[in-house]
Amino acid sequence: MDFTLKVWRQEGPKAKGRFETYKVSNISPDCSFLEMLDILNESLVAQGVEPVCFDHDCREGICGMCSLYINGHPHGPDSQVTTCQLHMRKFTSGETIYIEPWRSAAFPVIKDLVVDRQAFDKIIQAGGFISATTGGVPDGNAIPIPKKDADTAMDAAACIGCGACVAACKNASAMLFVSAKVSHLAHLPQGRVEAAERVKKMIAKMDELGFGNCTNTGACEAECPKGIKILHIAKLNREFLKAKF
Amino acid sequence: MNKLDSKVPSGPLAEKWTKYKAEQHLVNPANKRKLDVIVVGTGLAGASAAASLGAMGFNVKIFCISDSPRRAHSIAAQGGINAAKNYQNDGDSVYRLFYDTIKGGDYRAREANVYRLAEVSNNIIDQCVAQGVPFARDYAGYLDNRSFGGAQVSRTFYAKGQTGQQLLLGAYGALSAEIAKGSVKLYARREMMDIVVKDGHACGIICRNLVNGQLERYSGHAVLLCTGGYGNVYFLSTNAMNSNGGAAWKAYKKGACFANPCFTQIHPTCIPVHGDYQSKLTLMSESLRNDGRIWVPKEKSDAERLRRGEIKANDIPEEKRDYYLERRYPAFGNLVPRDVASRAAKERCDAGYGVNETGLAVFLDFKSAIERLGKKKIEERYGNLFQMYQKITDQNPYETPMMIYPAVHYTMGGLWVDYELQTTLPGLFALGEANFSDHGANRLGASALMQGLSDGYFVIPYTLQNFLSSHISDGPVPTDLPEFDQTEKDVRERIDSLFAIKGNESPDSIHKRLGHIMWEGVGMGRTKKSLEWAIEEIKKLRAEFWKNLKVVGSADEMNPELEKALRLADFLELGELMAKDALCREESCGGHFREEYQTEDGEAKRDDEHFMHVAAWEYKGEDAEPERHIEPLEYENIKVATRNYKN
Amino acid sequence: MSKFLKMASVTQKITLALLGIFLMLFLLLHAGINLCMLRSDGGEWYRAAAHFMGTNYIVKVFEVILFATFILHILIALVLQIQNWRARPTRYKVTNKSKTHTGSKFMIYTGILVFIFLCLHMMNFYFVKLGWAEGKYMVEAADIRYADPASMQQHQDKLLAMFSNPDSLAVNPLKPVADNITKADLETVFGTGFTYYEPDFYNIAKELFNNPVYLVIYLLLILALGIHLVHAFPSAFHTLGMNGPRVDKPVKCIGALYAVVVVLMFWSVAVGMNLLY
Repeated sequence: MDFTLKVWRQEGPKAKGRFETYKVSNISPDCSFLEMLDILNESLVAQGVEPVCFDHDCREGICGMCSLYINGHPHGPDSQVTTCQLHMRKFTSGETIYIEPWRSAAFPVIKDLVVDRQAFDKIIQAGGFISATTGGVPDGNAIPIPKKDADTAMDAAACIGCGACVAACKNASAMLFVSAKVSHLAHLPQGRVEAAERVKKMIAKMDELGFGNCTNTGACEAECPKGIKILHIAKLNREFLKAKF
Repeated sequence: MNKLDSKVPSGPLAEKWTKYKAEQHLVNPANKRKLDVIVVGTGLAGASAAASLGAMGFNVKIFCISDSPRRAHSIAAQGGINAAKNYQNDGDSVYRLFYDTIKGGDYRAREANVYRLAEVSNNIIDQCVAQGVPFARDYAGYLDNRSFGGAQVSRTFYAKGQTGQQLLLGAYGALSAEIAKGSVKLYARREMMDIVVKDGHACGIICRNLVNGQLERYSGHAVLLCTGGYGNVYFLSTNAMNSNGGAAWKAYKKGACFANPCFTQIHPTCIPVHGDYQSKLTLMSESLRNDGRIWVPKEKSDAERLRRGEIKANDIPEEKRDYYLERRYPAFGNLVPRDVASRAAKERCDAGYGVNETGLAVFLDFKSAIERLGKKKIEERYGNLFQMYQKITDQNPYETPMMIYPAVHYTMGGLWVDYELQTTLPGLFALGEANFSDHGANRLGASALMQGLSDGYFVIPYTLQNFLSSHISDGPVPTDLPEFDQTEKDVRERIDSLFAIKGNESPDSIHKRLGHIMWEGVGMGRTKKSLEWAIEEIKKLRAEFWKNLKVVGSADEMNPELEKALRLADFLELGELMAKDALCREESCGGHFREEYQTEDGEAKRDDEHFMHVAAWEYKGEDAEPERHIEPLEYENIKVATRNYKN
Repeated sequence: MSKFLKMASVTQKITLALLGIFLMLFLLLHAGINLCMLRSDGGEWYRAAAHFMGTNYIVKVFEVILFATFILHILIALVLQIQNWRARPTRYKVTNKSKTHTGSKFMIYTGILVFIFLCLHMMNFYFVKLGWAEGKYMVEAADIRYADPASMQQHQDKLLAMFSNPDSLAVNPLKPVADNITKADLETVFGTGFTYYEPDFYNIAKELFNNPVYLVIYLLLILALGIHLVHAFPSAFHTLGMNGPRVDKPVKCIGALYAVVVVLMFWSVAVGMNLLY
């Protein structure tokens, strides 16, 4: 397969970026999108051109490191996959593919397609945890948790923190990310103790960091590689109301 | 005195850890604030250690190669975590977990460490539940278990197919809480370049800031390496792209001994290689072997027709299928340990029964499980794994069997540590996969998570305190010492020398060649000949690397090519040590299979008389041969036997 | 205002949703009253309803609340929207192609259209009531005793025409209420000091709906309102946390149904007035 790539290149955080056009050819349909970029980079290195920087790590869809806004979709056109698990068979040969970094005031570009997602860490640091000092905790089976709640918590906890929700949202809102953590912990009895403080602090941090607001468009849910549902946003809203009143 | 003093406390096995804790030195709260601890790596071991030490009151600095601690590759562990809870009332106990782990490791692990691991395993589950890890539960609301390879009890706790993720996020949460409190300081997108040693003690590290390329100095009273394994030396492995052996290798060069480097685990259930552009291999959780049955055709002609694409798996009738694991190992069947399953797959494929175009794959079939339990139940158990398989291969595993093949997955070898997890370089500790301690020659499934968290949550908080108690009056370590100047200069020179080569070949291209040599020579089946060949080839490749490497860009910017080159330079040395170690170990044990040493029916043949020991290599300089030290292994509480998974 | 801006985004959104739900209830009431126009009684029911709404004290209190609601709803929406725009300073080259809920991407735009409509609507109707704009008026026969007798005398023929019943079969040849009076006629016939008149919304509406340009604009803006509502309804529930696997679908369906009903009610009155009267 052959492709024309329009790739966002930007030397540094303050530099002005631009799209560069590259051609890649003889790509196997079984090749992943990142492997296609590897091939591109190898050819750039051969020409002495600096390769395209992009974030990636586990390449099995779980670390949340890879990003890329491909042809109008975070993580590309396939559903419920990260870019590293997107395969070229999802494209048609000869296609022009636009590759852009996540765009959000809270995720500034570092270089080319690499963005800084530390804002997510800061939101978690604001309260996305259960305080349990190592040691003094009860037996794991001391508090039975209804299977339904445990399963719902697990569904929310599946978030990989990639930021596709922010990238997809027309408002660059981080509500799906925040709600996934709030909902995960709120569904567990262990998490109830700090539930009210947690939701207030995490929302305050999210607002402070310059993410937009949720307008319930559902774009985040449609693009989330782990299929996190916006029902968790409703849960967050409930938790917030509970915490406030 | 022996270079390798394991410092195992005396007394009965079951009381060693209790005795240690009772007798160790403590540091009072006021003094803890005066002590700086450097933690490199944010995986299960690093995050849990930093969180625990931070909560205790130490000043912790934690370093992360990615943009966030949550990206560490522990996150990719799928199947589960073992603990001797015996919630299922199926006869499990601390001793049995200890026994299974030692046996699974083919009697090449230290008894006292493994026993401690089994002992604290239960605390890990409690800790994780308290942190909100959403482990699977039964309808009564109690924790559920599944069984895993190498065990006859159900002791594996799991969170769907994302146990590693959930455990890491738990530790990450605990770490985040400490970061928010200020007791831990996080440095993201930093790669450790070298360890600073003063008067024979590790006292700091030099990092490269991966965003702007600047070299940075950090000092501390102790340095903890929690940097994972070195499986990426094979280029293709299930490790993440950023996983590397650099930190451990730097430690080795600064005086820490490297133990059992040849012990690598080849995981039996990975998606087969499909092209030379491939960048990594994807693991399919071992838990799939609970319900999946592994087979190849009984007749070679069927295998050949499969390879040519003339027939499909489902065209082969039941009686013409060879469920070779069930045939060879009736007692454990599809749940034999990983090394055994991997070798059996290789044996079948080498014999010409492989099933995909390359002939390097076997089937993992869920047909009978779906018939028995229904599609819904299977979907509940393995839904996300099946989906992942389908996304990658474009085949529906509910309808056609999966194709799998072994791939490099884990390295049991690593920095030699004593009972306190301290390396032979004082002040330098190694935790998790980065050390060698608990898995012997083969790791059982769901034990890596257990070890990482045990080291971080429940071992290092005690043993590090014992070490630091003698440093309470040291005062802060300044970073303008001549040792820091020198180490930073060395790092800078190394980086400059890479740019100075100005050759023609990219790091990835050389790395692929190294991977090929390693897989061929130091892979699943090793021989004296293949190892000697590998050593020569690696030497040649290393020479070529230093002559023909091409690194574009510059040092003072984000430069992934430079990162790759730096890591590859270490792999090119580490690979050779692995081959050397494998060559010296003239026996087969666990993941280390020397074809010269096997029983008549192809099982590994240990040589307990000559090799019941840990081999730890000491660096002796650039051109000198490393020295092989030995830590004899004594089994006082366990009867050493030939591993038997047949009956 | 600064305190308001410092409120958590979710608090603002919850307020927005609550105000929206109040407005949605009002819309239903308004559409119901409009429907009265279609009855072939020369606007009798409609006028009765309008008269009640215009004079009842409880309704007057609600009127104030309604205005405050509108203003606050618009203000919060603007504040949130500005934050949203600022959250993505650099736009994507390729427009987002993610699947989104119907209408949800255009809330601010449909909202602005609804606001334009609101302004137009206020100028045509409410401003007439306040006397800021000219429209059509009606005068009760009983009230002409407050008018200037001299000018009534002078324009006797006009006065008679105003009150004469067009229905030849009627028992009473005179109407109790004169309607469809222009501002000019009002002043000439009853004198400039006369205040005992009411705006004649029925005839104002009738005239506007019979203007094809206005009709088309009206229909389109109501459509914009409908699109706004399709998302507004489920979105408000979502923001209030009233969502879950079991209520998700019904809420969406009711929301869509509500939007369609409201649009059809307004449309049918507009088109009906154009065709029938």
